[in-house]
Amino acid sequence: MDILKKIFSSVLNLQESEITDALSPENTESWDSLNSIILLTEIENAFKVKFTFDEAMAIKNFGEVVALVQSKSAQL
Amino acid sequence: MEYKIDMDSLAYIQSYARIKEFSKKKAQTLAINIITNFTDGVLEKVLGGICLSEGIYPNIVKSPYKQYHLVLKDPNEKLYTAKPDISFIFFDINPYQHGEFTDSPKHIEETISDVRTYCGTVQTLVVMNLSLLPCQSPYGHFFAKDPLFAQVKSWNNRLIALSKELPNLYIFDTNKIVYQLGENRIRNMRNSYAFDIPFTNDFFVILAREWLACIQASTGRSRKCIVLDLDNTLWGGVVGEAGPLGIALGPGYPGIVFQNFQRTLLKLWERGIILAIASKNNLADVQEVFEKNPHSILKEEHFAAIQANWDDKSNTIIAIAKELNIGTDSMVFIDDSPLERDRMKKERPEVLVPEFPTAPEEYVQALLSLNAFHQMSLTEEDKRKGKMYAEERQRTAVRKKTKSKKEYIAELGITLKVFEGKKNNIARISQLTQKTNQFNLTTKRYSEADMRRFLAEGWRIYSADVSDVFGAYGIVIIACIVPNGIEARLDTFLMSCRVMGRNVEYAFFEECIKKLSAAGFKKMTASFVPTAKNIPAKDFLKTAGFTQIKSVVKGTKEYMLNIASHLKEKTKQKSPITIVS
Repeated sequence: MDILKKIFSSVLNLQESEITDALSPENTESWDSLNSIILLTEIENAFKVKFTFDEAMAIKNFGEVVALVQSKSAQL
Repeated sequence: MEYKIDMDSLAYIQSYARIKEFSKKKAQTLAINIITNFTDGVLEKVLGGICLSEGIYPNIVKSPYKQYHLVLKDPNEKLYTAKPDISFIFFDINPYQHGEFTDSPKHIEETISDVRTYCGTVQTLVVMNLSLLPCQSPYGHFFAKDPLFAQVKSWNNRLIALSKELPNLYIFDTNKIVYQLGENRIRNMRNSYAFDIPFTNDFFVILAREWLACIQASTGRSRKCIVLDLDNTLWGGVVGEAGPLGIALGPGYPGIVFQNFQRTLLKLWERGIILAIASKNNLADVQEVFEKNPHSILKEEHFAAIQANWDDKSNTIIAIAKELNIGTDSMVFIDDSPLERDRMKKERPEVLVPEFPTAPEEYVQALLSLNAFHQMSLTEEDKRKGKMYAEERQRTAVRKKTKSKKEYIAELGITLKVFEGKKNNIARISQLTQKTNQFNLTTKRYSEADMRRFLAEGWRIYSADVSDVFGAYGIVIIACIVPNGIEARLDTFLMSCRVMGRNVEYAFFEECIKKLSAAGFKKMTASFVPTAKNIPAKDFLKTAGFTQIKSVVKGTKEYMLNIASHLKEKTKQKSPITIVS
């Protein structure tokens, strides 16, 4: 959880306290398409997991990222 | 392997996201252009973050996605109007997908032509990245038979040929990164198909570090000098305890590990990197190793400065910087002790202090991976630099030992080989007129064409190749004289600062006068034109025997010399400097 928040705060330039389950591209200016890709690759590197294109594109908010990573990895 | 490459793409991306908080005041602003054929947003962020971490504030402009052919042809495009200080061009030819570079030979011709136009227009440094050669082939081991392999190779060869034609086009072989990381770690096929980002973040970090090295080399921020510890760095063990022959240094393991580290340092020295020693040891013990241990690859003569004492190394490095007349920000400090390294980092943050592996077996890799010693070009003079500094150290030792300047000059055993007329090295002479600011009477700048014209017009041009018992300085002093009947006008008289303070200028001048007298000249006129920098030449004419006369031009001083009476007086004096013709 801490690692995910650190990745999001670093890439999107946010305080960790600003990162809630509801955080989404719609309500976060810095969460643009390029940063979506960076988040994806940084999460994959940090947790040694791989997502398919469809899995990555289906993500709506931070809560769903947590759930997806949990389903792929036991490390959370 | 214990020696690991730190790969923190996230830290760089974060630092670039916070660029607005970065204080521009202390940083050097740099306009950077990136031109690629893939989505290069991640690369931009990583490069931007790396620049910020080195105190460079980057203004990055990228070619719009897949539009490089259009924008490179339009001088009103942002790439051109941004006036880049440096540009990076990288076209990827992905061997696992079809692409524009392999589909049509016309595409390659057009790109070559666009790169040529771009280089000619921006004029500043353009770093062209060679494309990556395929690592797998449908032809199995018969790579040479694979048309794709041949195509990429020929494209790269075209770029190399282009760099020989365009002086501002510099080639970086991107394949180096594949050798380093392996192909499996550089390509990401899902990202390639989904986002047109063919590479991993690891690849972008290493590529951006190589680009940073280009930035540093082109902005004079490359490191010039390696300051070395001795015990357990240059050899194994402690010389103060084991003695000059008891240390680990020799053809067997583990001594050979240190020998090979020394061999690598020697190679760096041979291409112009200065070596110096900062060691907590007795100087006599250190010198004994260089004199008595036959296995030491490096000898005393390779070091421009040797500081062996018990002072804090953060002070020692300042002493070395002063002795060599270079900044501490151009130095790399190598020491096996983490304590010494931490202290240096804290006290002298401008010194590059690399983490060094605990295993000496990995020293060579660690040294070569520093990426700190790049240069945009290598000249003959660069290759001699390490040697010239070491020679200078020997001269300084003589100066300290001798009691007077006269004695010092006699000890140096200076020889001047004088050239005249067409025997002169015209290229070097015109270079000296363009570069010399300090000891220069008139500071007139001449091209090679000017010099050839003067010779054709009958000017007397003299130069001298200066050497002493410690080594050669090269051609460092010249005189250009315009004949006017029996009067000789000293148009240019200058000397490189390398030989200042050794009375070379007087010995050379007397030789010129002798030659002019033999050619029938009776009188010489000369002037001193003061500039902000030529104070060292201010009193030369007076000391050489000239008489000041009334000057016509305001600010300049005019002088006159009667050649015959001057020679009569001077033949009584004997100079310690030898002249050969």
